[in-house]
Parts: sequence; C-alpha cells; structure tokens
Amino acid sequence: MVTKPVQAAPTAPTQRNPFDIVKATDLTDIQIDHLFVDFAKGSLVDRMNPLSRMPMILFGGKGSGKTHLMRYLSYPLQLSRSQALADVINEGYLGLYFRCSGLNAQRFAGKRQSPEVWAAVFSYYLELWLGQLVLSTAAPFLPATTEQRPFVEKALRLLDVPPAATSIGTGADLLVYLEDLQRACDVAINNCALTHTLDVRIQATSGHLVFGLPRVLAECFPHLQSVLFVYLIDELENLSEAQQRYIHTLLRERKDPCSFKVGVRLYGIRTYQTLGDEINHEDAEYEALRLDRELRDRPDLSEFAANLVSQRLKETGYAAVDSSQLASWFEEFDETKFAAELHAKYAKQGGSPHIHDLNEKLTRAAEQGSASGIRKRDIAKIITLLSNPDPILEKANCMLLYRAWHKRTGLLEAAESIAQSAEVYNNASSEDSEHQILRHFRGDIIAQLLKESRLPARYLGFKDFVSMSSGLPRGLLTILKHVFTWSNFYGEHPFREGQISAKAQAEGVKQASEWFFTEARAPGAIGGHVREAMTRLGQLLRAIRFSDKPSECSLSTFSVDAATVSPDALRVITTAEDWSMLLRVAGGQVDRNEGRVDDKYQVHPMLAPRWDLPIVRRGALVLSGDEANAIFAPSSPADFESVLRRRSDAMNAPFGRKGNQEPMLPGLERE
Amino acid sequence: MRELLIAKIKALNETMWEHRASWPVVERWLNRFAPDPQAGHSERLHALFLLSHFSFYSSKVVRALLQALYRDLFQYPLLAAIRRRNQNTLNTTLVSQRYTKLLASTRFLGMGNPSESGTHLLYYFRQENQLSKDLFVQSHELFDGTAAQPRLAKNVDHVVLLDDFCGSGTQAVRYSKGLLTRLRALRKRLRISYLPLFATTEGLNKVRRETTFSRVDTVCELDPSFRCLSTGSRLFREAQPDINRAFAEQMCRAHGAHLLPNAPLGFGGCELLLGFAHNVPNNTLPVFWSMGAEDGSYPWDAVFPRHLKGPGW
Amino acid sequence: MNEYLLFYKKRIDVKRRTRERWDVLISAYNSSERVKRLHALVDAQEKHWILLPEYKYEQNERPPSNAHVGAGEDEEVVMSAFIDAIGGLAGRRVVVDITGFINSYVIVLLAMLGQRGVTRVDVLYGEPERYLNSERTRFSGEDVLQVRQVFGFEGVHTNDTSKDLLVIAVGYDWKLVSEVAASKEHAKKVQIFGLPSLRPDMYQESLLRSRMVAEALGPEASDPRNFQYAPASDPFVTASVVSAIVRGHRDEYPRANVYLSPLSTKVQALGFALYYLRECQNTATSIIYPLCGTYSRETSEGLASAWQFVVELTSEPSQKDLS
Repeated sequence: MVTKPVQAAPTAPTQRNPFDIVKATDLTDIQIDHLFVDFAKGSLVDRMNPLSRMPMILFGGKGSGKTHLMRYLSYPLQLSRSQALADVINEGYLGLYFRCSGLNAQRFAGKRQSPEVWAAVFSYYLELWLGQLVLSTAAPFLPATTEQRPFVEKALRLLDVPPAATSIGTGADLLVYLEDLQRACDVAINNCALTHTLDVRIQATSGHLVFGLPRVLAECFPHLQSVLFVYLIDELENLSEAQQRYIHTLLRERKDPCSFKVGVRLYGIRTYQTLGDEINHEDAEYEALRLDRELRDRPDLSEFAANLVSQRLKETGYAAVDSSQLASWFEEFDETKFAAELHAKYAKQGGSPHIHDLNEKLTRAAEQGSASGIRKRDIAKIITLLSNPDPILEKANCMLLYRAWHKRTGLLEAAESIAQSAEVYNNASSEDSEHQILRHFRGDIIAQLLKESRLPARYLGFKDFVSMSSGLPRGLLTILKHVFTWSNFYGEHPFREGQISAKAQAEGVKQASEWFFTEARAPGAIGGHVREAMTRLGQLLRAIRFSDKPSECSLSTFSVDAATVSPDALRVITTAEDWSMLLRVAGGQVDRNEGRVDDKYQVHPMLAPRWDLPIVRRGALVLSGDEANAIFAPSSPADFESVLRRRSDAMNAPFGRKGNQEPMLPGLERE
Repeated sequence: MRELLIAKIKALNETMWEHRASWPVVERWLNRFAPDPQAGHSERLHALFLLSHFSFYSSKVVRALLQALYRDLFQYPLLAAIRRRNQNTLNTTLVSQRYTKLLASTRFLGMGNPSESGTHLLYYFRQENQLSKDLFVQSHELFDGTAAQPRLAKNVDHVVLLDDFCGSGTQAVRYSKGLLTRLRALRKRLRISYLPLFATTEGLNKVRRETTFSRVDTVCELDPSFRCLSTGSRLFREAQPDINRAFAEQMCRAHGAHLLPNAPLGFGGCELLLGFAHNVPNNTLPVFWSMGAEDGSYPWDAVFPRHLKGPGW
Repeated sequence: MNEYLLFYKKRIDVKRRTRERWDVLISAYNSSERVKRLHALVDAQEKHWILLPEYKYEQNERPPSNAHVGAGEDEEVVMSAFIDAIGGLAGRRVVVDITGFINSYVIVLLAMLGQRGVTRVDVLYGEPERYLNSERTRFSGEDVLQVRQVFGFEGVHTNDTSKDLLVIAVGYDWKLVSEVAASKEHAKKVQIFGLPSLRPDMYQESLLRSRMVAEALGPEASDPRNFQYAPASDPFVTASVVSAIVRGHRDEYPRANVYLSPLSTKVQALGFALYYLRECQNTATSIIYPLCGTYSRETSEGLASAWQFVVELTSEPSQKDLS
C-alpha cells in the first residue's frame, strides 16, 4: 500500500490552444460564422457566386477550406448572419447543404444484386433524401399549416405512387411521409444483406422531387418565387462511379429554381458521365473552382492567412494579437547570431566539419589518384585559402572549390581565385564576384551548415508557415497547433508573453509534417506506393541538396517528359498530385534542348521538413523517364538505388571518377 | 533517439500525466543526472528512456479502475452465483433483490490505518460505485460485544479489504494479520477478500501464502517483467539504439543508494515505474519521486514527487 | 441494474482439456500459437476451421483437417458458405473461438448464428503471453480498401447529419482509427479505451497510438477528459458502456445517427455486436469497419489464459449451467 497519502497536485495550468479545431467539420455553425475569413478583394464567396444558375464543382484538397465555404452558404449560416427570415430570402438563395458520407452509399452494392438494381435504388433513395432536405430547410418559410394544403397536394403529385393515406395535409406531414419511404428503403437494404432479396418499391422518378419540390414551393408561395434553391452537395468522393453519374445527370438536367454546388476532393471525381452516357464539360455543363490553386496563387495569401489566425486568436481570448504583428510572436532565424555560434563552436572543436571533410577528400583523392602521391603542402594551402571566420562564406568557398573540381579547373588556382572573390564579396558584395552563389544557394548553404553540426533544420516564423501550408488553411492551422503545444510543453506562454522559441517551432513543424504525410494518403495499395515513392523522391532531392556541389538551388521540384514515363509511374504521380503530396507547377518546365514543355511537380512544402527540403521552389531536377520510373514505380529496389548513386556521385567529390583517371585532382601535381 | 523520447514524453504528458511533467520539470530532473560524456552511455538519455515508460494514472483513470474493481471483482461473481442458484434466471428484479441483500451484508474497509491511501481511496470507491456509507467501516466496527467477549457485528457475511497498491506484500501481510486472526476466531469460514487495485504477482502470492484471506485478487497485476531494470524487464526486450539495461540499472542504483540507501531501486526491490494522481508508491524507482536524501547530502528533483500538494481530486 | 452484467463469463484453465463438451467448435485459423492451442484444448464433437481470405493461406499452409477455405466478396458470403457447409446448428451446443477471427467476421458471425436459430453461443478468447514487437505491433495490413457498414448492422439513418456520433473502440491499430474517423469526418467522436487492459502497460500504449491520429479524431475526442473506458477482455461491460454512451447522446439528440466501430480487441467487437443485436436493430445506428486486403497472421506469442463468454441471444434463461 502507498503510505502517507497526500493530495493530488492540480493539473499544471496550460493555455487553451486556439488552433485546436482545424477542421470545419468540428466547428459549430456559430464557430463557422465567427471564424470565417475572406479575401478583401475578389472574395471567395463571390467566386462561389451562390446566385449563379450554372452548377459548380468545387475541388479542394483535404483542408483547403471547401467545407467551411460550403457551410458558410448553407441555410443555418444564412440564418445566423441575418436578423430575420426575410433577410435570408433577400440573399436570393437558400443553401441546402448535405454530405454524401451521410448516405452510407457503399450499402448500395453487392449483396447478390445487380449494379442496375442498385443504380435504380440509389437514385430513388437520393430523391427521397433530397426531398426531405428541401422540405426541412423550407419549413420555416411556409405559411400557417392551414394554408399548406394546396402546396402539399401539388407536391404529392410529384410521386409516381400517390400515398394511400389522405392525412398528409402539411409540409411536416409530407416530410414524415418521405422519411417513412426512406426508412422502408433502409430496412429493405439491410435485410437484403442476410436474406439476399431486395424488396424496394420505387415511388418517385429521378428528378421529380429534386427539381419538383422547389418549383412547387415557388409556385405556391409568392415570397419564395425569386429564391434559388442551391443544393450544396459535399464530399462527393464518397460516392461510387455509378452514383456520381446520377449526380452528373442532375447537374446536366438542372431545372429552375435549382442549382448545384458540388464539393469534392481533388481525387474524388470518378466520372463526368451522366446516366445517359453524356459527358459533362467544364464551362458548358458546370464551372469549376479549384480552391487550393486559387488560394495558392493569390498574391494576398499572407494577409488572408494572418487574418485567419488572428481571428482564431481573438475568438479564444487572445485579443491582444494583431494580424500585422503576428510574426513578432515567433523567434526568427538570426543569421548573424547563428554565424557567431558556429564560429565559436568551430573554435572549440578545432575547425569546421566542412573544412575537415574537404581536407579528407582532397587527401584521399590524391592518394588514390597517383602512386607517387601529391604535394601535401598544396592541400594545406588550399585549406588556408578557403578558411574564413564567417562560416557561411567559408562554406560557400568550399562549394565553389567543389565546382572547380567538378569542372576540372586547377584547384590551387581556383582556391586563390575563390579567396580573392571572398574578399571582394566581403568588402563590397560586388555583383560579379563568384560569391554570387550565395544569392541563390544561401538557404542550401545554411541547411548544410546546420546538418553537418547536427542541428535541426530551420523552418521558422509565420511567413515560413504560410509558405509551407501552400494554400491549405488546415495545414497552417495544424502547424500552429503543434507549435503551440510544444511551446506550452517547453514552459513558454505563446501569444501571451515572450516569443515562441525556435525549438518549439521546429518540433511543431516536424509533427505537422508527419501528420500531413500520414493523412494525405490514398486508400488501398496505391496509397502505399505513393508513400514509398514520395520517400524515394525526398531522399533523392535531399541527397542533391546536401551534396558537395548541388546542381540546383532550393531544390524541391522535378520535371519529366510524361511521354517517357511508364503508366504505373504516371499513376503514382497523378495519385500523389490528387492527394496533394505533389503540386503541379503551372506552365511546366521548358526543355532547353528540345523546346518541349515537361510536367513539373513540387513536393508539397508541408512535407519539406521530412527530408530537410526547402519550402521555396527555385531549381528543378530534370528526370529522365527511366529515373522517374525508378522513383515512382521501380521494378526492384535496385532501380532507385542505382539512380540515387549515380546522381549523388555526380555531385559529390570525386564526382564519379575512380583512381588514375585524369584529371582526378585538377592542377595538383604529383611529385 | 533523444528527440523521439521527448516527443513520447510530451504525448504522455498531454494524455496520461495530466500535464504534470512539462519540459521545465523534466529538465530540472534530468540535470540531476550526469552530463553527457564524450563517449559511452548517456545517463540523461537513459533517464529519458525510463521516463518514457513511466505509467502515471490520473484521477480519472483511477476512478475508472475503482469501478472495474467493484464490478469485475465483486459484483460479477455474486450476480453469476445468484443466476446459477435460480435456474439461470434473467429476471432482473429477482437478481437485483438478491444482490442487494448480499451487498448489505458486506463491509468494505481500507488496508492499513486511516491515514494511508488504501483507506484514502475508499471515499472514491464509494462515490464511483454509488454505495451506501453504511457499508464502509473502521476495523473495530466489525465487532460487537465487549473487549473481553467480542462478537462479529450483525449482518456481516463478507469483509472486503481494499487497497490501491500491493508491492512486495509485506505490509499487507503485516497489517491484516491481527484482523484476520480476530475475525477467524469468531467465524472460521467468514468470507474475507483482499482486493488491491494494482499488485505485483509476487506480492499477491505472498499474501495468498501467508494470510487466511478467502480471496486475493487485483484489477491490474504486474508480473515480474514490470521490474523495469532486471533481466526479464519488458522495457529492454527489443534492442534500442544507445540504450543498455545494465547501464540503466547501475545508474539508478548509484543515485538510489544516496536517495534511499536501504532500497535504492524502490521498496521491496520492486523497480516499478508507476504513479497515481494521489501518490507515488515507494516501490517505484526513487530517482523518479525522491526530493533528495533526507539529510540534505544529495539534493535531487523529482518528476513525480511523492509528496504532492494542492486541492483534492 | 445493468443487464449486461448478467451474462456468464469465466476464465478457463489453459493447461488442460476443457471440462465442458460442445457439439461444434468454430475457429478461424491463423498462425498464432494461442489459436492452435485453444483449438486443441476444446472438447467438441466436431471441430471446424475457417480460413479467412484476408490471411491468404496457401494450400500447403493449411491445417490438415476440417478446414473450410473462405472465399467470396465479403464477410457475409464467406461466412454463410461456411455455416452452410457445417450444416444445421439450431439446437446444438456451439462454441466459437474468436481469437483468430477478424473483428468484422466476429460481428457478422454473431448475427448469422442468431438468424439460424442458435440461442446460446459460447465464445472463447485466448490471451497471449505477449504481442510481438510491442511498440509496433501491426494487426491489419496498411491498405484499408474501404470503410463501410458491416452487413446486417446497417441502420436506418436520418438525413440530419449534424449530430452524428462515432464511437470507436481503439486498440493498437491507429491507422484503422484514422481511416474510420476520416470516413465520418463530421461526426462527434468518442474513443473507448481498453481499461483494464489485457496487460497493464497496454493502456498507455494504446493511448500513445491514438495520439498519433489526434488530428483525425478532433480535439474533443482527443481530450483525456472525454475518454471512455471498457475492459479489453469483457464483451458484456463493453456492451453496457457503448449502450450508455449512445443513450446519453440520443437523450440529447433523438434523431442523431450513430456509428460504432470496434477497432480494438475481438472481445470488444463481440460486445459491440451484442449491444447492436439487443438494442439497435432498425434504429439510426450502424457498425462500420475498415476493410483491409490483408491481415497479419501472427501477432502474438503463447497462450497465457483464456476467457469463456456465454452469449445468450434470446432473453430465455439458458438451459445449461456454466460449470
């Protein structure tokens, strides 16, 4: 037994995390309203254009804000931002929101029934479902029950089989009747699982209720005459191809006073065909809004993001945080401080890892290159020439020397020229100094310095977080959520007092990146293939970024001629794009030699920390078809290993050259 | 490795540990271990490794376990017996009536004296299981009559001794012996149960062997693999980079020798990594709960101190 | 009075042959030692193995006798063919060892036995000495093909999805938790943890795993203050815990849709099924389950102990006592 009982300590006070809720599905209607943020110019609501009769398909990756936007247009939200019901009508539309996941649509398959039977039952079921949605949403707008009978009589005529009971006199009665029909349908479908007979009697033809009920409402009630009934169909990805064809049929055969906004994940559209085998075309039968891309390409994204975040902070009681001041709460990367720290560290260790590494490589190469050896004093001289009290400059010096080595320039001369250039750069930052590489490779050089000193990569500050999220509001909120919990764990007081430390940010970002990698995955075997392929791609890009002589700066992007890629690899690439692991770069990559435009993809910046990649996109790695196959659909692990080795050898001294191949160490004479 | 352990500790802190071990607390504790050497095993890494396996049961969880104790160890067997005696009846009214009767002739009391936490938990046990106050007694209330001629109190057919933790079993044996003798003298076949919330297999066996309890059972049994530093420890079954069992043991023993000289790895040599919201058993490794040697000669910081202060549950 | 506590359960001795004798034993074959040992320990007139297609056993890996190779597009097809092959079960004493089963099959089997006139079924579950690779034990293949309702456990749902509730019994398989949570993204979620767990450290382990999918579960379900508990090895208490959670939610929102997903032990899956059959038929309640193409055949070592649960599928008292 435990002796000396004592009372429990109180739970350590922790601050409420303003970013706890990152999904619109977790928000109440009121929260949706309060947390809604839009662009000042060209608002998203305007882009959605709820009054348009043209159906719209709203594409959005997980966390792009699709549901938030659709719910914002739904009736409960219309009501919450209005003073009275009349205000809702004055908006000119009624948002009828529903999620396809609620249909449990996978039920409508198998069970020893034919696909045709299921297609018919599903259409009927959805008809009943949407009919109820119309009636329940319109209920508050109906006149007194005594005045509803004409409407109900007209509405009942929409059914193929009129009900036996004549007690249906009000909208509410009709709603119950449709509910009963749906219920009978559910029971029949369930029983079918074990009895193998499907006992459903279809009592409404497709479209009759969906288009008919709004029409009858408008005909019977003058105040609803000019209202557009907008079906907001969310989560279309939950429907099978056959079921989506029914939705496409509704879109194509749309009738007044109805319209559709269909929300779907990037991967979620399985077909554009209708039940009548016609194809729905963009800008003909529907218009498309691609939310991720829309957000990513907005020049005022950071302002939007800052508003989004400060709105959250305000709602959770952090009133003091102003959106323009947000960045100041985060410790930023201080290059001067960093350089000074490294300098001190090197002094203690007796030199820097990169100089040590260079020295070793030169020595080894000299030994392997010739039996008589090289003049050691040249190596020492090179090292002296390249050494610099500024670690960033020194690292740049090394990179320049590796470039010279690769180009087979005389190394001693190269070192002398680099040293001169460094001096010029240091004094005047001259435009034509060789050290212009610092302009492009600065981020990579710093990343290499961190890595060789075993320090965590720096993804710091609000600006970086916005870039990482790349148009996915949920990405940004998830980063901040984790940064917040780490900051709390470290005993800090985020958004109350002091700055959020770099280490809390680093950990939070890492965790958010893991989340993204785990969550953004396709189901089934292809999901596994995509994850493995992304890991290989990440490894390759990292190997190049951290090589002696990276061919490209800020490498997070590759391009490939799709015509040379195998269908399997292409499928993995497409799936990775659909699941937002890869972002397609608009415009592609122009092949310098052949003038061809290749597909170009960036690793989603949310994933950058997984492989220490940059979040900005500058250079692009041009992959051959074979290389792309080895990454995205290798026939054996050796395929990729060989690509990795070949690429890596080409960028690391001695650049793939074996002993006795001249000139191994250009300009270093043998004795 | 270190980063992974810290991430795990943070997750535990947010879920299991009621935010009691935030990083400043852990860091202060960690600094009591030797700084990392240039080469060889790191004390601090091993300390983090052990901490990442520490089971701390919050008050909510302890309450849920107290429900389980009542339901699984007490109520279930009685209900089954009632059904059996009544042709497997599913008549809830009948079963309920019979059960109420059996319950009314049961007395619950805490193991040890009233200041100890076995007793301390009685209140929560009663509350969680909505039991009448009358069923809870002090040991002297089990008796009627005079000191010279004691009698068993009226309507007592089953005595249940409750406890939060049974480590080596020594204390349970010591505390119960007198009471068991007195009860058995009055009614040889009285049902007397000892039901600790947590117990080591060793402790249970000792109590079973050395006392006359009719029944000894627990909700959470800790087999010898929970002895975290010994060769059969479940912590070290799989090789972990930079982690070595013998080093961990030696480290805990060395610090423990200063902190609790007669039991450097916890009382009864239990080597446990276990704590409750209401207190930490002294069978847990002292490096986790000790606040330093009593004479001040070896200052220390605890992650889960044994003497906690603050409002109750 | 919690009626679920009236069901019989007891631990059985795994060192000797069972004292009880049954007419028919049904087991699902897999490579775990505990499955084979329990199969051998049970005294039954007929013993039948079902080879679930997800384990993908080759011909030369199958048990020598009474092995029915399960094939078909879903659990219902597989199990009904199997039960048909065994022959009439009504009126016979049936014992099912669920140790080697996959949760969705446990659920379907229970409904099917009830439908075929079995009024009482004894269910066995063997606990292992330990799971392999404690920190990383994988039970299912990673490739979840689909999350869907289990046949026979599909409810009659309402079209108001704003108050949907998803109750998940979480175990070690955090990937499954994330798939299920994502399939009902909008639902309020409640996690049930196995407590008391099979072994004392398993509770902490399952907590850490569920933490990995905290984003998918949402802040409310991931807040320890909202955790719910049910014993990992008690179907009856599990059923009563689920019952109480659902009742609580429906008291507040009578039209709410409820989804139940038992992703933890098979025993808890049994509890979910039992609760459903007793209280949820033709209500807005479904059991949903993530279907995987493959499942790991071997996740544990040894047989530490075993439970026997007497599941009475009617409200008539059972004729035979538990010895």
